[in-house]
Amino acid sequence: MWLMRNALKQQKSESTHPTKGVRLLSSMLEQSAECFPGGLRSVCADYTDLRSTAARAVLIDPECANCLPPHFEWFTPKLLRWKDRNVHKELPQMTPNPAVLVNVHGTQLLAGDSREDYREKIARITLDSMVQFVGLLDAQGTVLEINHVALDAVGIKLSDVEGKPFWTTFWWQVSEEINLGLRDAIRRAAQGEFVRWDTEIYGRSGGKETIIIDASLMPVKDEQGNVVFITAEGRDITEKKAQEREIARQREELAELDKLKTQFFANISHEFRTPLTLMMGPLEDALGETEGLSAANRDRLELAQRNSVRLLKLVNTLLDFSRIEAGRIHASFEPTDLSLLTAELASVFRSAIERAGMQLKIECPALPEMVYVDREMWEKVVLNLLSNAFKFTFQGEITVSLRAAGSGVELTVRDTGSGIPEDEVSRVFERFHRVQGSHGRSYEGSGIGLALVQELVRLHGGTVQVESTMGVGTAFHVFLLFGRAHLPSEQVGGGRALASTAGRTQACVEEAMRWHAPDRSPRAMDDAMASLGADSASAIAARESSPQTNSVKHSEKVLVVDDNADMCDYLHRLLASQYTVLTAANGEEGLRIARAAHPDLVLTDIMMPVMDGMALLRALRSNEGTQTIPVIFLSARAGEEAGIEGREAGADDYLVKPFSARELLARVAAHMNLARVRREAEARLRESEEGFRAIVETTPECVKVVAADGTLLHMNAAGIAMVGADSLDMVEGKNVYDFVAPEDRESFREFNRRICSGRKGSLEFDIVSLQGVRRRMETHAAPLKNRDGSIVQLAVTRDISARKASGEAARRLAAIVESSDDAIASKDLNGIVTSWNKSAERLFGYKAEEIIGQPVTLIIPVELHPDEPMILAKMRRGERIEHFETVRVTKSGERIEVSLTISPVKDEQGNVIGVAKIVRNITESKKIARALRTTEKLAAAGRLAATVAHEINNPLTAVTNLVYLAKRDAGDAKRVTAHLDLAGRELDRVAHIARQTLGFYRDTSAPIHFNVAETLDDLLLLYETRFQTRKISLAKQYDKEVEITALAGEIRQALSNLVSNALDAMPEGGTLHLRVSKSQAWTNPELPGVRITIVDTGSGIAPRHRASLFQPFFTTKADVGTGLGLWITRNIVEKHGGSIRLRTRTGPREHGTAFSIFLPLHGKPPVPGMDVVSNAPAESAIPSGVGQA
Amino acid sequence: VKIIVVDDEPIIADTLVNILNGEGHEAVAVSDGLSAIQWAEMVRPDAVVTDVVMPGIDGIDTAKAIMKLLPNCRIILFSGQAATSDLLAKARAEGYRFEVLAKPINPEILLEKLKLQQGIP
Repeated sequence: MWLMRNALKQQKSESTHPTKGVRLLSSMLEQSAECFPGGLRSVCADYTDLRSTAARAVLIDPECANCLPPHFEWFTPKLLRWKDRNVHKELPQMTPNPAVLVNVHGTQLLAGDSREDYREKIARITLDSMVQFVGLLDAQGTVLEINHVALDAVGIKLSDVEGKPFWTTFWWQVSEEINLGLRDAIRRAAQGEFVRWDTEIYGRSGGKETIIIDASLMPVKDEQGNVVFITAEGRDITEKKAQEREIARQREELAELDKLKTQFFANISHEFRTPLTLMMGPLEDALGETEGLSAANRDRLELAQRNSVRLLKLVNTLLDFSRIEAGRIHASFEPTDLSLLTAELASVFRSAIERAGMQLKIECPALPEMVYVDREMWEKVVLNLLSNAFKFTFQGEITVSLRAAGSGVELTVRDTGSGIPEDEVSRVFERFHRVQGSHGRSYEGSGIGLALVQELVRLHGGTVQVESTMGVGTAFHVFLLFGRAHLPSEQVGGGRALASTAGRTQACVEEAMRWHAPDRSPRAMDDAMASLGADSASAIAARESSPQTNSVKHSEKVLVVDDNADMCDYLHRLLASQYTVLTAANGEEGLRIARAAHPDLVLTDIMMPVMDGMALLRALRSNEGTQTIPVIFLSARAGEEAGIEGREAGADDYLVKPFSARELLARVAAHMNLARVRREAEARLRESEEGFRAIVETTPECVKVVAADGTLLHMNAAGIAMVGADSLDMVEGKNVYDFVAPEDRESFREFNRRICSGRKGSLEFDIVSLQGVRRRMETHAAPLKNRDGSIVQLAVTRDISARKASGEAARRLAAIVESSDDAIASKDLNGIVTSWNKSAERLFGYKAEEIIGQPVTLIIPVELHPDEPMILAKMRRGERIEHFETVRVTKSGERIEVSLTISPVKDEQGNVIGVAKIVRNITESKKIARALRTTEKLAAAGRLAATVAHEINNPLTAVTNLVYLAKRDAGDAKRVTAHLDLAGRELDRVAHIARQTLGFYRDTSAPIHFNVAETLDDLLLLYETRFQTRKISLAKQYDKEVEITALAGEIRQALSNLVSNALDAMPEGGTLHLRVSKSQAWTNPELPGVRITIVDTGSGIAPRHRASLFQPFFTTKADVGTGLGLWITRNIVEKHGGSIRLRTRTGPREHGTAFSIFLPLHGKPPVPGMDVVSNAPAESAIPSGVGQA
Repeated sequence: VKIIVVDDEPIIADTLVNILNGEGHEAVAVSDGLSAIQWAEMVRPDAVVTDVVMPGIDGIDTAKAIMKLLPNCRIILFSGQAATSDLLAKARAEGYRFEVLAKPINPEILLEKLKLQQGIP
């Protein structure tokens, strides 16, 4: 009988992190299950317990000690036993305290150990058993001891670090800064100070991962008080930090939730637009009918039309919001004559205001300078503030003033209206908040106009404030800064504008006109529209504005010609600190500028519209005034032959995109230098050789003149130093080939021959100095006419060894990057991929050679493309993006969720020259997290949807009533009735969508008995117009007898979603097959029911989408889908005890999708009172007017 | 049938009144809850059709007040907002039960409902 019992005591287990000791112990226990046949249960129980303990021992009955696996030592407080050549010995009272230690690192306590040995060994065991990193340094910081936990964490041995300065050890190589932090700490500790700080070190996964430690250095002093040792300790606080991050992440999650809502609204806005537009068409047609339309009915229809405009405006505003929030609104800030623009915009409201018996005052004196605004956004700001003022003002005046105020400009819209109650003032900018208790012209405001104003002003880096006194009036103040420094540079000037939402201004004024109901007349509307026309003309005038010019003047001018505005901007930024930069968008413009401004150098793209780079080069060369200007081609065409082609055409140099900023600057500088030297040389050669020499001598780069046969005719001081000579005498007359490294000699000879035959060029080669030192050189050379008429080589040569060497280091680093587990890629500032490691290949499926040189947008989903310029802009500013979670697309089209850490790559001067990104696939972890959060998200989206529903349903109700009335009174006017029928049907669709998307419809009424085929037919009526317009034919196969008991409204909604999906799947037409038949459940043949199959002949569903098809918010119809249809459908079907199945084919000949629903004849009774979101009765689950009529 | 229609949006109230009167009812429109209660006291209508979410007194409080005044008056609520359910649940807890129609209301359904309730005193 053996006994196993744990007398375990936790030893300094500050973390639950299992140490190697425990792991070994655990695996030992597992292995020894065989040895302890009777005690398996206790072993298991103990094993579980062991995992949470840092260091412990096991008491085992002596008889069982033999069963221990080899090399496992153990001891107890009172009794130390070990297994050594099967000899058991007792070492009583050896441990200093009852703590029990397990030795797992090979230190063996032996019977013969002296007390000193023992003490030393026990210290080591203690050290090794500690969960924290512990080390002992001498006073100079040299490593004496490091525990195994620390060594194991990075996978090294004590001998690797023993005797080395602590700061040179692997742990501390996370960054220069961290390393310096340690050195400073050691210096302080050596002076007797206790130092403690949080720092990041390598300490996990064999040194691949960093951890955060709470580090401390404690000086150990001798009797005289001198520091003799320093103990170093590090406690892993990564978890704690991770928790802090977790909190931050939760905060981010909230933001994500918000994003989701935004996305949701973007989707519904899109979904509403189409039927709204379709509805307005027939209304307009009806209004256009001259016969059979009474004056009263005309009024009604106009009213209906205006309500539709209001809906459209609301939907557009929602869309604007979602764009802003999704970061997809791209402001384009242009210098604008803001007073002119504002005055024009305000005057649009004049007739509406004056018709209401009030006055409009516009005070917009000319401003001292142009203001950078996005014109469309500014329009919205002014119009929304004005319409708000108009809404709440009944007498008196509305004043719009714009004036310079300090460093910016202030727009004030002041009214003499009802004012805002004090406690409401702070809430006016809240979305969907409508001031309670205020007396307005209309309750119809959507409650988001002012919120939008605030967002738009914020995008301009401005502020908006409100002051209000009840009964006196309200004033809104918008303040914008002059200049452009506060605006994101990439959005200044050109760029994309917010996609125009047609009829925006029109909608605004029309809405305002309508509030003023008594005077409503077509004429008033015409006036307003006429003034709108005037506005757009003046808008164009205001857009003509002078661009800002460079403030700093440099004597040398570089002309940049590129049709890509971003590229132009980038080059401009790069060069502007040293040169005056001129830019042109194409060759023709470039040529014009070159002829007028005589730049010192031209950098030009090759592929451009109007006139390409080659043509520009020829034109420059053919004109005497411009023929000597150095031209550098920039091209995306890689490959040597492209370079040769460029040089053949006479370009001085050639850079392939992507290029580094440093390379570009170096080349530009070299050519500038060469051109300058050549220019000056040629000019002065005629006058005096002395002058020439003086100039050349002062140049820091090697300038030499080489004859066609290689004889060195002259070399400046810098050159003499480069070859290691003391004076010109030592090199003059020598053959320059002698200095060229043997392997480069032939290419240098060929190069010289080419130059001396009248061409320009550049070359990289090694030289060997007189002292035998090898250095890498880069030379830019041009032919020069010598005094004797022969052509010689004039060359400017620079030492690029350092650059090459750093390239070497970069290659070594690259090797590490290459082997990283994370996908690591880099791109240049134009978003062109420049490197791509193996993990990236695995993750994205693109091979490095496939993707390098391609835009990174290849792996970005189309809808996220607008993110890219923002990322690049951030990088240009030198900012990092950390753990940015987003979606990327693999080569196979699969969407994966990733966490990105993106950092700018800087050169030695601190210039951002590229971007490095680390991509981690988080698809799986996201999936789990998402599943958990879905419910919460839906609830949140649902709450918001409810608010919007109100805003949308009110005008819908109005239009429904109006169309009903118009139809009732249309009498015999058949055409009018026809139009109204059509409008009514589209109206039904809008209502249907509103319920489906905004109501998250749940039926609470009782199940009824109904005929499935009839229900389906009723439903099809809804889609009649779509069947016609899309040329979709119907094939029905009904068992007309089948009746089931279920919630009719919900079943109709489920079927309606499927039919609607099927129609969307066939944009090019096709056939919709419908089948209703008696059936049994797939899983239970005993359960009778009905099977409804809806088949389309569309292109089918791609395999990668199939799994997520029934997920909420999943949609393949990015523009129109809410991603809720199928999710709702499945919920409804499952709630009725049914099931839904999908078959889909994507073949070239056989393609299409079939959804099959099985519903039991008697559905499970629904649980009453389940979260009711809509109170619509079953009958209104589908658009009214159909099915009930 | 004498009906009071309550909606803060005059267009909705006006057009509904127009529709109801066209079918031979005697309807008036008011645009807030307080007016509705005052009018109900004067007119003593057979039915009140009211929006739920309105500034001031909401539709449910209005309905409750009118039910106290006129126990036989039928109340039909209509709403375009899902938040209504919370208000309804509250009213249910207090012992009130209301019929609810979702906005946009199909006028035919409203008329149908009114016809049905004529039979009920």
